[in-house]
Amino acid sequence: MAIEQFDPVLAENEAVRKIQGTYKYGWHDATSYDEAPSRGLSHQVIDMISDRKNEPDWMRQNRHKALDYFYRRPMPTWGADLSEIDFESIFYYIKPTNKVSKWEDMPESIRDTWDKLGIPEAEKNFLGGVTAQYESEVVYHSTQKHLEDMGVIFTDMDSALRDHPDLVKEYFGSIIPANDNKFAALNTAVWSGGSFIWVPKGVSIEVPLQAYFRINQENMGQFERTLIICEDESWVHYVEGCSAPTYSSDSLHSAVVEIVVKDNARCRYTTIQNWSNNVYNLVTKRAVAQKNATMEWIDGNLGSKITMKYPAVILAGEGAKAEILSVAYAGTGMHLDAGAKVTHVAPNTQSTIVSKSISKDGGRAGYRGLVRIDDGATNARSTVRCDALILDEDSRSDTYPYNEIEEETGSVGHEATVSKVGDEQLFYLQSRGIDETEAMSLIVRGFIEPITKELPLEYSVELNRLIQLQMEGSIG
Amino acid sequence: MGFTRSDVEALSASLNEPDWVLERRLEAWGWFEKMEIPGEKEEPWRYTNLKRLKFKLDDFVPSTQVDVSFGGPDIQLSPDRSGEAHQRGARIRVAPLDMELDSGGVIVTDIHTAIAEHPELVRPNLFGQFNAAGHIFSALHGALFCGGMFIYVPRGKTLTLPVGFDCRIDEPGTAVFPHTLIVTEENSEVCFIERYSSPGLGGSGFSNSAIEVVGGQASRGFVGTIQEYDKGVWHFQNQNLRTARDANFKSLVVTLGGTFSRTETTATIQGEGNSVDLMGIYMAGEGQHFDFRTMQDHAAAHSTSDLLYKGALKGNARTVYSGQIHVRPEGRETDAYQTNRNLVLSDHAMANSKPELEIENNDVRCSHAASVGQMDENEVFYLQSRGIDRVSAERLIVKGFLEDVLGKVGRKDVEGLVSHLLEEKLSV
Repeated sequence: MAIEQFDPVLAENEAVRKIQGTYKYGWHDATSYDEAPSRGLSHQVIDMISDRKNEPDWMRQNRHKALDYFYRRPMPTWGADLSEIDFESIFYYIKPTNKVSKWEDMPESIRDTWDKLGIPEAEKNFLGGVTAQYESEVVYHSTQKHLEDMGVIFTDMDSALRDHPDLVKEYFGSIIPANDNKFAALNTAVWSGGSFIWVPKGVSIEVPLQAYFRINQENMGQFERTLIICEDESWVHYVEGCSAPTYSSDSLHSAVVEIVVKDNARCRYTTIQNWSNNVYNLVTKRAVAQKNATMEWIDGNLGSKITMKYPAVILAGEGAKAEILSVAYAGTGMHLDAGAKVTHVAPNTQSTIVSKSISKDGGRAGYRGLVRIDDGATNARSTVRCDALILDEDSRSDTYPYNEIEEETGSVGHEATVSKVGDEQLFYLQSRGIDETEAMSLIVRGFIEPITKELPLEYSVELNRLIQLQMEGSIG
Repeated sequence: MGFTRSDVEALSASLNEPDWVLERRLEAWGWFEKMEIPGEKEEPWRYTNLKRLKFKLDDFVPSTQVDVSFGGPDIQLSPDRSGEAHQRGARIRVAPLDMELDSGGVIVTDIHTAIAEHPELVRPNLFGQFNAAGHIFSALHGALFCGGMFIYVPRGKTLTLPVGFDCRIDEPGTAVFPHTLIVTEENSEVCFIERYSSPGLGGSGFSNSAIEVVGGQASRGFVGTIQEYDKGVWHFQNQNLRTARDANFKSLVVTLGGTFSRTETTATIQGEGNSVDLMGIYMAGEGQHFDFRTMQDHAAAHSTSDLLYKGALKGNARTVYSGQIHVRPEGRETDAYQTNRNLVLSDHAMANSKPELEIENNDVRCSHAASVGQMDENEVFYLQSRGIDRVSAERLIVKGFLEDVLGKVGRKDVEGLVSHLLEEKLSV
């Protein structure tokens, strides 16, 4: 397989920028894979994946059943245009190398990738554990020793299935069943990699756990599967980042993330998605919050060709809370259909959704959300706030909120605004000696500040830097 | 039972219609034959499952099978109306127009008389806004429209008093299809108020009506629909406004009755400098399902549209609001707003609200807001502390909540009428 090579040094330089626009992570590495990959989807592919992973039979059957669901379900006709996805041209499983737990043991080409992305630095400085996934498999994993001593399980999903089969069997697919939607079915059929986290009762993990997902191969399909279980009174913050090279043909990322937050526990899940603009990002994420539990999704969407992602929380226990913060930045050729879904099942539950979207250079960013209050969820409260900023005439913003209220004592408020950057704001900043590009960028950063201030410092800096990159040249 | 192609042909023949009208009817009939009652899988009907509500077209026959007769100046003009028509099933009577208006070129008549006498005004505009291919009900309306008014206001003329249209279903199991067309020339003004009811019907009914408004340059208008059908009536309505440069139009939809109501209101802003207000008031009680759908379509620059729909729900009522603001690339400097508020007064009521924005231009100010909540106990307590009993206090709060919408009507006669109707409905 011929893979075009970029000199990694050039990746930082303008030459690459010219080729790839401003996408910073658009280079790819020449990697020799353990096995020659093949394209296309079939029951044979599933057997191949299951064989390689040496999985228990229930998981194999689960995969086969899910593939049938996938075949049976029609493509969604709402949201973004998915008609160009060619399921037959995609690589469903590529194993790059065996997993290692020492950074130095990784193949140099892959290590280069992560070095460029800054992963080992981040790990040294502030993370409790790191998982790095390259194509289909987790290639590197480490957890700080004191977390292991407290009984925390943080590992990749394949290892969890091997080492903690009972836990996986109990929860796998319990929140997002295989037949939930077409892409959840696809993920259940061909999943590989992803994180598994189990936080024991009463344990608070003070530093974030991190995973980084990287697609390197053209036409790759990445289908990681993540499961997080927070026992009573525990607390975890999980952070994931994503990137891919810029190719001329498309890749597919279709993850499933399931989270259980038990009584009085709290889980925060932060995503900074910066896929290159040839990745279809079609992800299903859902959490169940039990009594007095808190679930927080912080969802940053800066990349991809098409994103359809609506992190969901089911408030199943009395007094449970959900907070969803979402930011989407759509540039040229991008359609980000992001959003949030909250279902209030139990009494005295609360939810807050804040969505900020920015569209520029013909990009299309949108919010699609659902707030549902079931009959019996007395005194449930929900507020939704969606703001959109459109930076030029060619761009577009959509808002599609669904509010379904079956409970008399429930209350829901939804507000949305769409506007451009105010001339008077720009004028004010320019009159203070700030040039127009910088002023625009300041205003945009101010606009998304409610989100960035919730991120760990390093991510907040990173998000601002990505926005800055996107903003360059935005004043025509 | 049900509807057939021969109903369409017989109706057209009995009205001596010109070929072009029959062609439009049959084209609509063609769509009707291809369509089915929409299900929940279709996004515009997501929260309204007509099959589960047990709606069947076969339960009805067109009222034309009972009686068709038109014309005849046998009703008198009320003193507070500038024009008036009464429709009972398929029969329609129009009051003679004031001499002064008549000589000034104003036309107020029924749609069929207008087709015969003013084809040059009707032909270019009939079904110009109304989309018969929209769904099965609009297709059926297009095929079988019968009754409804035609109003034409020439350049510079003002109809100070409203034109009233009163439509009743008086035979159980019948369907009515009134179609009203309003054309305003440059710098003219019109006010149209239609009321739907079925006193003493004692059975089921099917009402499928449409209004088309073609608003000329700098013309002003108010279009109000008040629906007070008895239980058992299924009401479908399509209201379409298209406005030229500098026009200023208001629409008010008041929904109080019927077993089921689906109203679709579309404002197409085609000229610059428009101002359009869409207002809605609804009170839904036991056994009622109301569905409101709105579209603010900005296809021209420098225009404003503002929507406010407020409703109160009691018993096991279900209401749906779904509306969209669509600003097209050419809709620069648009201000568009959309607000839907619901007051839920019972444990078994359910309100769905889906306000949407599709913005294809950056030089806009758009916002929408939706809320579903219950009565504020503090307000009830405050009124009770002033010696008002609880029932009256709640009634006052609901009335105040709904009448908020009337503040934007800008016509004392309409405000008084609607306020009175709300009072009546609340005291039941």
